[in-house]
Amino acid sequence: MIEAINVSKTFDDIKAVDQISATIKEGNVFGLVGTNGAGKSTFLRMMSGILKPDSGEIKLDGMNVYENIEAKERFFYISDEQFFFPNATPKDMREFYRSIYKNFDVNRFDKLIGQFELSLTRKINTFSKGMKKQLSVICGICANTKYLFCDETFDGLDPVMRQAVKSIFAKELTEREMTPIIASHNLRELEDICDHVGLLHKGGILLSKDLFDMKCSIHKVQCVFKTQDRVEEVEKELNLLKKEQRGSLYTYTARGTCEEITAIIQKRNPIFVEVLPLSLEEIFISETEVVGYDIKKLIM
Amino acid sequence: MTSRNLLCRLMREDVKRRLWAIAISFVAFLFAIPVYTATSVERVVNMFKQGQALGDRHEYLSNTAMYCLGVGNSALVLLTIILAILCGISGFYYLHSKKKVDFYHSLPVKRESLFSSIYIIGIAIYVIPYLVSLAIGFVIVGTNGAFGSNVWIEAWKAFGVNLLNYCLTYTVVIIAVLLTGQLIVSILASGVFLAYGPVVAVLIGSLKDTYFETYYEYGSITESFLFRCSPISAYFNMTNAVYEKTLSFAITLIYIAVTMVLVILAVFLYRKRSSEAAGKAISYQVLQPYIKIVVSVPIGLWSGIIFTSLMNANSSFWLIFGMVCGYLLCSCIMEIIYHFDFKAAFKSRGSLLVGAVLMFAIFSMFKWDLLQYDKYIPSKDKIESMSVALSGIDNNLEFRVYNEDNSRYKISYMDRIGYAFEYMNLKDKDAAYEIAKMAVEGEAVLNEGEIDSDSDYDKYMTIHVQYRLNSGRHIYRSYAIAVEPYFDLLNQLYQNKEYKEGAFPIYTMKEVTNVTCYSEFQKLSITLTEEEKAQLLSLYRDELLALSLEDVRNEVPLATIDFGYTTDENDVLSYSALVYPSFTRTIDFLSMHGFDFTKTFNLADIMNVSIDYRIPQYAHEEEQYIAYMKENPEWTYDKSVMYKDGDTISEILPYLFNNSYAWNNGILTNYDPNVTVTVTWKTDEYGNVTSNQYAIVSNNIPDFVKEDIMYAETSK
Repeated sequence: MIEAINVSKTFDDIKAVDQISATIKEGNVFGLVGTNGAGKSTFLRMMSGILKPDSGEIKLDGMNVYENIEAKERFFYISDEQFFFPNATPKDMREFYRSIYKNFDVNRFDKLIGQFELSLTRKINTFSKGMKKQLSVICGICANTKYLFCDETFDGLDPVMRQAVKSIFAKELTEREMTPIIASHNLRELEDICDHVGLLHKGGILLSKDLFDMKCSIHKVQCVFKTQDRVEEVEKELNLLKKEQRGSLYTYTARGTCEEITAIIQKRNPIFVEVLPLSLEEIFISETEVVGYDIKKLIM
Repeated sequence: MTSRNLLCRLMREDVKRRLWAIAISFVAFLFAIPVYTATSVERVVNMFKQGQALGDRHEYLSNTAMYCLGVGNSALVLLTIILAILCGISGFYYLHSKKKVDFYHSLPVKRESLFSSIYIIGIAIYVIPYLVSLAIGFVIVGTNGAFGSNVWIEAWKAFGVNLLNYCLTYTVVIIAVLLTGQLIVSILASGVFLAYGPVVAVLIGSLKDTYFETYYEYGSITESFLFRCSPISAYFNMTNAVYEKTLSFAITLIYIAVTMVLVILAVFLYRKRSSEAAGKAISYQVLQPYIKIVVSVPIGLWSGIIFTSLMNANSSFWLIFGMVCGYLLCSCIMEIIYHFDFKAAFKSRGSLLVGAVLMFAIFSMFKWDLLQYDKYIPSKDKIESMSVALSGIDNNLEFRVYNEDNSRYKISYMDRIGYAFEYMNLKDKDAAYEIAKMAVEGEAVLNEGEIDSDSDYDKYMTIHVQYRLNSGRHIYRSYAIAVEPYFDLLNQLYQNKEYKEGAFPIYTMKEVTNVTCYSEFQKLSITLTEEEKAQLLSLYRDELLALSLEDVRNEVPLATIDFGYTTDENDVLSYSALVYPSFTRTIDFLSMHGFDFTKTFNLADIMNVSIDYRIPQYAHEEEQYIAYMKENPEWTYDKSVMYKDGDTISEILPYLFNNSYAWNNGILTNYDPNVTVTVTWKTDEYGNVTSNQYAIVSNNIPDFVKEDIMYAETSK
């Protein structure tokens, strides 16, 4: 488990991360979303022990990360612009990481290189940006560390490769309890992979929630009622986050389980009622609008 | 994975990263050692083949080999410095890239391991090519028959010295890289670290020279320490010491200790360096104002000095103007570099003000002598001994010393002051101390800008004084004093045995192998037995001890004795000793061995005597000269007269004496340098004409001559 407790980091007079507290459980895929400059990379770099927090602490399995080799052995950090040695080939990087990470899986590395149609002996500086991303993910996966920190890892990958990477992540999650922490400015990229999402904005954390809980606790329904007084009764009873009206068709986004919400509506004998699927994006819009933020401006 | 394996792995990666540096190192060493040795040895071999060289072939060759493989090879020194800078910057340059820092610092590797791997590779890039080249060099030397244990020892000694100094410079450059976050700033910081000490030392020397009347630069402890603060000047000092065979074990240990302390400091800085320092000008922001002050203040002071010298404006106003401009410019540039923003030029006003105050405080300290440098004289009871070098007296002396230097005798050439400071040990210091005390109190001293006319220079002499204190400290001062008010004290000092022994190199002569005596009219190589040579030397030394300044002022030397000594290496060492008329026993001895002191000009042989007079500047406004100049515009300020008549010439000849004798004690001898007498002899049987120039004592210039040359009586 990774725990960040009131972590702050300032660069000169810019507060990059301000009093962030978050808990990342093992076996979860944690998504860290936010705009550019929100503090995602700084937070990840602090989690990786690259930066030392000005205040607060980050504990990885109970250990402080900064300058702690034992803690660092438990994660692999993929930066947004991963460094490879000049003139190195994937094979060189494999050998290097092999000497650094005890459980580095050489066979898996070679296999994944083949799967991604990369060459073991081609110089990395001739790779495209996407190929370098793929290689860094392969290195990270094969390091066989407990945690994998990815900073904008899907940025630059084409949809096919993105899907391939996601499926590798999924496989790793099922085969061994790997815990990826993925930072991205694009919420849609994380939607189908994350279990838990933390939303960062201007160095602070706006919310940190389990996606399943979020999906179960917010629902969107469309309904038509016979009379206006029934509409008012329903709206009073529902824990309403958002309401839209087109003629007599009402669309509600409300907190509560699917059963609870439909029961409230069914009691008023509607002409039509239908529960609509809610995207992660919509959940975030609803959640953040409540606290006064226009999420569309932040992450979409 | 064990930490040793990890270290090897990291080192291997670093080697791959720095292949270019390794290639440069190999190629450069190849040229600096094997190629240089091969060409040098071949040249010597060819010289012997063509008969251009004589002597022991093996010795000649091994000396050449020792030079090429030893500390004498200056290409190795240059290469060592260049490689140290190159490896220091290239090894730790990654710290300036956020991408690389993220990579290295996220790895489960201790920072110490990372530092060690890079540091060791930096050393290996130097050592391995050096050793390989040295091995090839040994093969070249061996195959040419130049090898010997001395070559072997010299080569390894040079290797040790070069390696030690490489480590020192390399570590200093690494510290510069660790303290900065940009390549350009790193290079500038390296330059500052490598040159700061000497630059500040020269600045202090220059300020002392400009503002202190009594300053004399001779091995100031502070300044020599500052000089050694630079790894490069320390390196040159060490190689010189090895070359001169004066390097002590203690000094070597100090070098090693300093290097180790610097390595520890570098590790500390590396550990403490935050990753976010990448890309910043200075990695430790807290140091920024201090670095700015430490760099800007000397640059400001230097600017003042340079500005006045360039503008040829010697006033304090322009010096301060230059100082302020240089200081502001440097401070602003540093702030711009710190923030990478032109608008930030005046951002840290506090440090700007502190630096300015410090700079003016330092300037004031020198300008108004706040520390009373010129007024300082150690109290007499604290002085163990003194040395004094007098200028303007005994100018013809040459200071050559034949000394044993690390089991090897050699001739050292020194100057008057260095010789006196080394060989004079005045325990009886009353006269010397009194002279210095009077000078410090400002009695009849000449300060800058106090010269009335060109002739004033002739009335003053500079004395350089060394005070050796009981504490072991040495203090050096120079005083420009008027001769006459100090004459009695100077005379007292001159008759001091310790003064003579420390001022005349003849007292260091151990043995005489040949004696030559010459004057205007005779030159004689005198054949003497060993005992006679020793007797003459002893006689001369005794009579020289008795010579007073009064004698020097009143007497004109009659002849010169060359005491010669031929060393085992066939080097000739000779001391010229003037024979004054009061040296009666010496004169008798030389007369007994064939030297004729009675010889003088033969009037019958002389064709003419011409007298040239340079009218002194102070007389230019006198009526007679104005009239003369109008009549003779082509001879402005010069008046020449030629005498052909024997009677007239005979009135002049008795007062002529050798120009070099006049120059020898010019400040005391009462001759006028504006008057030059040229004697021309009659054409000889081969049709040749000989002329010689002489001086004449002012009081002895005949009246008719004075009249003819329009002699200015006020002169001298």
